[in-house]
Amino acid sequence: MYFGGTDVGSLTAQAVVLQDGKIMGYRNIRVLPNPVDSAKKVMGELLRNLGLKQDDVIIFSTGYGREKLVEAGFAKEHVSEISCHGRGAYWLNPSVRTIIDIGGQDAKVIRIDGNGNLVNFVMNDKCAAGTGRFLEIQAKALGLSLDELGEMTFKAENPVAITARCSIYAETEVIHFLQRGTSREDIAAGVNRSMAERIYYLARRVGVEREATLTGGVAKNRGVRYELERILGVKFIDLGVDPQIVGALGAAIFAMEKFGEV
Amino acid sequence: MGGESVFLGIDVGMRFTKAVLWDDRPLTFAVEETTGNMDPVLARLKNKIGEFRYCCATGGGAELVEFADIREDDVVCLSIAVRDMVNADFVIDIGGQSITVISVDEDGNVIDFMRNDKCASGSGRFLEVMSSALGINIGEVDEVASRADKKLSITSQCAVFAESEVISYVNEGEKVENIIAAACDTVAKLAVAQANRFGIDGKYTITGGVACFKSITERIRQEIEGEYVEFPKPQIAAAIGAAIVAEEEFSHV
Repeated sequence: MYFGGTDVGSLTAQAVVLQDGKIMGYRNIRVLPNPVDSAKKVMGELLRNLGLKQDDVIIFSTGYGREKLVEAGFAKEHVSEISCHGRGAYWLNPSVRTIIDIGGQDAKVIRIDGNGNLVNFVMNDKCAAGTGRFLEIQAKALGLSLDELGEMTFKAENPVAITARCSIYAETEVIHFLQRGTSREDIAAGVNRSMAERIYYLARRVGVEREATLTGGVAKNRGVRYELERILGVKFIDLGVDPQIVGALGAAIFAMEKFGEV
Repeated sequence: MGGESVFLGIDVGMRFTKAVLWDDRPLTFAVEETTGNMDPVLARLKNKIGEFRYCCATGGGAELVEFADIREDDVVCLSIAVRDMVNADFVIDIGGQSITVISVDEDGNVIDFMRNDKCASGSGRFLEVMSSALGINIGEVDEVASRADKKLSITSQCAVFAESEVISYVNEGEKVENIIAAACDTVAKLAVAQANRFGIDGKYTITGGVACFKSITERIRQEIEGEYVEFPKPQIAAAIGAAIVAEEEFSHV
């Protein structure tokens, strides 16, 4: 028996398939306008790559439109993103106690106990500051790709201080720095640091334990990761998988735990 | 008095820099976009305005006006301007990057004020982001919004997320006039929420660049009790206040 999970975010969607308690494969795509279509597409492509049919797999859904996927008969059950991220990270490494997940349009800090149970969480999905969108806006203003933006932290001499919290006002600051002739490296490094500060203020509301990990698309930004480790005083645990698939993995684990023969 | 005693008020706002030439009344004014390098912007404004004797600068970038003889806080300048020009007790100022509500005493002094400049929610930038996403020139917002025939609502307060809602509406085939009208509703709603938290009890006016949009001021007026008085050329209100400060300071020199 195979178990699958899908996780649809604001910008990307992921699918994971498990077999015998191991990750058999995963896939990550840009979303389509409709979350149900996104989940079907990403899982469909993964199953094709693995040579499986949908009937072979019990699928649980998380993320945007997770209820609709159950109504549509595609997923057997749906689970919240908070639970899935907690479960996925704990399964990969049971020493993890804090999961910081930064997606395209939200950020969550999740605390779990020694048994992987949820202790507390905090989430921002009301303001673009501290989400992937913040970085996208500043990268565009700087004429950099998201990958390039992340690397600038290690090329900068004197990172600028971005004082605005608001993504839109920060963009104005970035443009004004460019107009004054400040180097893109120093501005970009300031952007990454400012992003880390926003996450720090969010995380402080629930507290961060030393055994912390960073997931979601922003986890791939080395500059933000570095600044966040510095400001939190932790070294993030490497889960050994693509940090974007932790939610989908968690959904697949819930499916396996509920319907597996183990 | 004559040309030798004319005063210049300059308001360096986050989005626009406004200059007013004043001699007991506004003689002329000019507006330029604020940029990271302000020297050429200020030079262009001086060129447009012509000769002046004393200058007072205000706004977030007042320090950048090196030729200013004096500087004054923009909340103070707004209070002076609304008392002098329209004799109002309260002002709701909706600028490019802030919303400020001020209560003003009979002599134009600030009694109390409340400001949001941390977030683009409900500011001029909010409207700019939405109009730009819709491909509408900011100057055409009123005209386009006046053709609305269906009520839509934008639920996000964050300008970035509201922009996503606007784009979703476009993708769903909603008409641009209905979407921009919804954006105007949101800006008005956020201004009203702030005004109500502050408490407006008397004669009030609306200033700042956003007050130029009738589609927004009319929506605000429907929601706020109290006598409304229109401020002529509301975008230059703080610059007028600054010019009056210069006049009060230097008219006897």
